[in-house]
Amino acid sequence: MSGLAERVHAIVDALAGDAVGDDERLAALARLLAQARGEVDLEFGVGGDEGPLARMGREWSEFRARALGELEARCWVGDGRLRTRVGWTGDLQLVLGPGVGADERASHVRSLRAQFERQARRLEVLTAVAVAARRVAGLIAGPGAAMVSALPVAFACVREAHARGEGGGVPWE
Amino acid sequence: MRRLRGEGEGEAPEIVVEDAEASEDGVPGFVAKLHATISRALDDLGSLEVSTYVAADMSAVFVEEGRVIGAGLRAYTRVALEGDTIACVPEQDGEVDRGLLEIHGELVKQAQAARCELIRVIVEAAARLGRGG
Repeated sequence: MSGLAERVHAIVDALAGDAVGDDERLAALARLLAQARGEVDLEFGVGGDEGPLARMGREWSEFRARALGELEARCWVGDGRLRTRVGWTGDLQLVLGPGVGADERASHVRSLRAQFERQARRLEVLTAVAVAARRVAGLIAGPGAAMVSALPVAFACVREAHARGEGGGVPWE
Repeated sequence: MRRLRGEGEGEAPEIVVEDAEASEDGVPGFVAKLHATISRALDDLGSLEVSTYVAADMSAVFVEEGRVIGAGLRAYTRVALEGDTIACVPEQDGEVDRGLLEIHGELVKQAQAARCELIRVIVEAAARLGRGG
């Protein structure tokens, strides 16, 4: 995840400087930004489906609710004979059943490490969205602008930055 | 949020107008929520606790008010932020369970590494939210 913030900045810089060039994905973000500014009509999908800005707003709402909720929640890692309850600040409660072997233990420790990494990544992604949203809000300010769209547009920028750095996937997994 | 009150109406009820920008839907509302989450995490970073339980029947294990029920506590480690450490490992017939101690120790190491990484992420997040980039 290192470099996510820098990639997000580069994307917002490109949008701010109207320097998307022939990059299709940046152009899509620029259209989203223009819609948030109220410069172009909202696009609607086929058959009256929601448009890109509305879809991003919905996806952002879903992500925000889940990520903020999961950030602080304790969760179980593992099942069967070896389980650990993990707090997001690192507190652990391990429950060991009978007959657990060395391989199972090693595998469990790896699962825990992955869970810790996920938790840290969630916070990084949420922070990246918040920081980007401040810049996006500055870009969309003006008559006819939908300021509540700053977060969804920022979220789209973070997803794009993640895809550019990690080769796809969703940033919180 | 703007609060309006009708003029000359005595006990007229207060009308609250929720600005989208100030609500959770807006950037300031979201940043405030993230700040609050980070503050709570900082409060929790004072010490790190790792508890290892043993259960004969895993199906009988559950959690009630943060406590593990249906399993016996066999090892406990508490590491304070400044490094002071308390470790409790019971012995049975003058012996400690080496296998249990091994995985408990491994978990303590994992938890400490995760805690270090979380502190780094939190400090960075707080700084970036504070300076706006």
